[in-house]
Amino acid sequence: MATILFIEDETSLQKTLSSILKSSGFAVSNAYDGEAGLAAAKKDKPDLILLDLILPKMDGFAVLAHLRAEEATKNTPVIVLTNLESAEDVERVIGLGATMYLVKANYDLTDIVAKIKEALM
Amino acid sequence: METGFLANLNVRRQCKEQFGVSVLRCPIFLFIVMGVVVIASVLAAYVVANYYNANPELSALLALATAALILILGNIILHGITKVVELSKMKSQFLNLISHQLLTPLTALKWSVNALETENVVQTKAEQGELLSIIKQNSNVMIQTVNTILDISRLESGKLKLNFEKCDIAKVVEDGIASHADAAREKQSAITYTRDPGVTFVYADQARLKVAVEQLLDNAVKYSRTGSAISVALRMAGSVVIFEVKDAGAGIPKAEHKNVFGKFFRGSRGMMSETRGLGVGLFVAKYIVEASGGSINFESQEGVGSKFWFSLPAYNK
Repeated sequence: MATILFIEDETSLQKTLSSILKSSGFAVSNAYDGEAGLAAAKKDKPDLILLDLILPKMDGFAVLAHLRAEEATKNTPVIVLTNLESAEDVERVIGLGATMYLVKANYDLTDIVAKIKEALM
Repeated sequence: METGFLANLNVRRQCKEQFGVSVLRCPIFLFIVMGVVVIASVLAAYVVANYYNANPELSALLALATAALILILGNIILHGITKVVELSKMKSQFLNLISHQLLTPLTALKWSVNALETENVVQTKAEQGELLSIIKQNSNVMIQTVNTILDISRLESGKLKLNFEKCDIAKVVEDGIASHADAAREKQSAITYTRDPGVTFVYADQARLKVAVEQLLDNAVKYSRTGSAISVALRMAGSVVIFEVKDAGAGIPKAEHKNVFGKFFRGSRGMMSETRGLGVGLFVAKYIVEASGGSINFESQEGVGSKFWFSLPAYNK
C-alpha cells in the first residue's frame, strides 16, 4: 500500500481528499503546517507528498526546497496542490523540483487520484 | 443629480469616484491649481515688468519664485499620482486575495460533493454528516467574505447604514468566544474570559458589533503562538463599556503600527505564511466602532504579542 503525506492547513480539504485517497487504497498521513510537514516527511519517508503552498510556519516553497535538499526525501515525488496559479509560482515550484503542479479548484477528486497514480508509476 | 458637463465640474466628486483620494491629493484638482498659478504668475510677471521696468532684478526674482512654486506643485502632483497608483495596485492585490479566499471554500464544496457522489468513499452516516457540515461551513465562509466586500464598498461610498439598537455586548462576546473555541483548540491555545459584573448593554448595530468583536478575536487566535494564552475582558470605565483582547503572538513591528487600521493591512507576516483574511477586518471594525460613538486602539510589541480594545457608550435610555 503506497503511503501519502498530505501537507495542507485547510481541514476541510484534508478531510475530503484524504477520504477518497483512503478508499482508493492509499495510506494517508496529514500535516497542517510547513514545519510539521517537513518533520513528518523526514521521519515517515512517504512514497508521495501532496504539498500546499500557503502554509503556516513555513510556506510550501521552503518545504519543497528542504525536501529536495534532504537525502531521505530528495527523490520523493511531490505534487504541489494549490490555488495559486500565477506563471511565476508555477515556474518557481518546478524550478525547485516539484513533480507536478495542480490547481486545486480545477480538479475533481478522482482526477487527483489519477494524477497521484501517474506520479507513482 | 448632476449629469454631463455639470458633473465634470464637480471636482470633489470626480476625485472621490474616479481616483478614490481626497481633493488635495487628486491629480485633477492639483492640475487645475497649477494651471491657475501659471496663468496668475504670467500675468503678475507682465504687470510687474511693466511697472518696474527700471528694476529687471524684480522681474527675474518673480520668475524664479514662479518656477519654484511650479516645482513644488509638480512635486505635490507627483505624490498625488503615486498615491493613486498605489491604491490601484492595492486594489488589484485585494482582488487577487479575494479570488484566493473564495477559491479555497469553493474547492472544499466541490471536493465534498465529489466525495459524496463517488462510490465507496462515504461508508457511514457520520462520514456523510461530516461532509455536509464542510459544505455548510464553507458556504458560510463565502457568504461572510462576500458580505465583507460589500461592506467595504458601501463604506467607501458612504452607503453603509448602521441599525442602532440596545445590544447585549456580553452575549455577543461570549458567542464570539464560543465560535472561536475550535480554532483556539487547534492551536492548543486557551481563551480566558473575564467580565465585570457591572457591564451593561450598549447602543450599536448588533450584526456589525458582532463583526467587530469577531475580528479582534479572530486576529488574536490567528496570530497567537501555539499553546499560548488569549485573554478576553469586558469591563466598565465610567459611561463606556470596554472590550479587550490580548494575545501572546507574533506582535506587529513598530514600523507597521500606523497602517494597522488601514485598508488591506496584512502585516509583514505576508501572504505565503498566512492563509486567511482579506486584510480589511480592522479597517471595518474601526469604522463600526467609531460610527457607534466609540473608539478603538491597540498596543503591540513584535515577538511579544498584541492587545486590541474598543470602547462603546453604555446604553442609558
